Amino acid sequence: MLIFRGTDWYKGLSPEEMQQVGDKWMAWFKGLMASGKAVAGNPLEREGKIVSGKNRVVSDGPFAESKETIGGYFLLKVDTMDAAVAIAKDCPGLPYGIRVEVREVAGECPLVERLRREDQLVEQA
Amino acid sequence: MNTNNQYLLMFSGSEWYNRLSKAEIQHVVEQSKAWFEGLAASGKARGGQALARTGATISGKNGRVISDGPFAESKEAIGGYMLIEAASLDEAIATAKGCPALLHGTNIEVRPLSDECPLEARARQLGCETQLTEAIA
Repeated sequence: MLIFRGTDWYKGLSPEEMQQVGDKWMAWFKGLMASGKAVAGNPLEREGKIVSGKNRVVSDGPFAESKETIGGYFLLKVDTMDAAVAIAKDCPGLPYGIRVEVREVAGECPLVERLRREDQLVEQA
Repeated sequence: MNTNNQYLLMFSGSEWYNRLSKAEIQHVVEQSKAWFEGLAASGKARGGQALARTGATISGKNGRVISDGPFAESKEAIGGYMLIEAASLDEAIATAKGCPALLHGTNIEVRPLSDECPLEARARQLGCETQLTEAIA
């Protein structure tokens, strides 16, 4: 999964530049979809909410730091982390300050993995 | 604009379960599985995955700095996501509130998917403003 962080990087651009970066981005995404390397992707609305805590408090968010705020994501289907990183490097937003987080989808829930690890430790003891 | 009724839930706080006992973890796993399966069966959840705890971050002009992991602060790191259908943001929030891991310190960011690239929306908005200014002048 590619997670695009930063939601104010395009504020300094002219409408023409924005259009240009937007077009490049769409072409990039469409190319990845056509070749099967991307299976999904979407921009996110800038408004959202955070749910947290035992009492399920709902707060406005997520916009404490707009440099960290997630603007969208791609879901890729590639064989290796390196292949995903290589794709991330083509992101047209990088020259303008966007950051791309590359994360592998876990084959197994990390909680289940942790349980199994504890079982193994017990067996070894 | 969001007209597709899809929302992305992002779960953060990826180390919260390190404080729990084995029995507690087992309990949360079962509860979470039941929660997700219930949402999937009713058609509300369209997909969801846990993310591996390692990764890379790419930034900078020339492709660019690669740093390991997103995990400077693991409380903020995203541990998984779920794509859901809901008629409104409130309904999406109500679904998020059912997450069993909230009890243990998970935070959930609820974000509507967008129909339009925000860049193009902003370019159009600026274009309209320029036209207005020119019309007035």
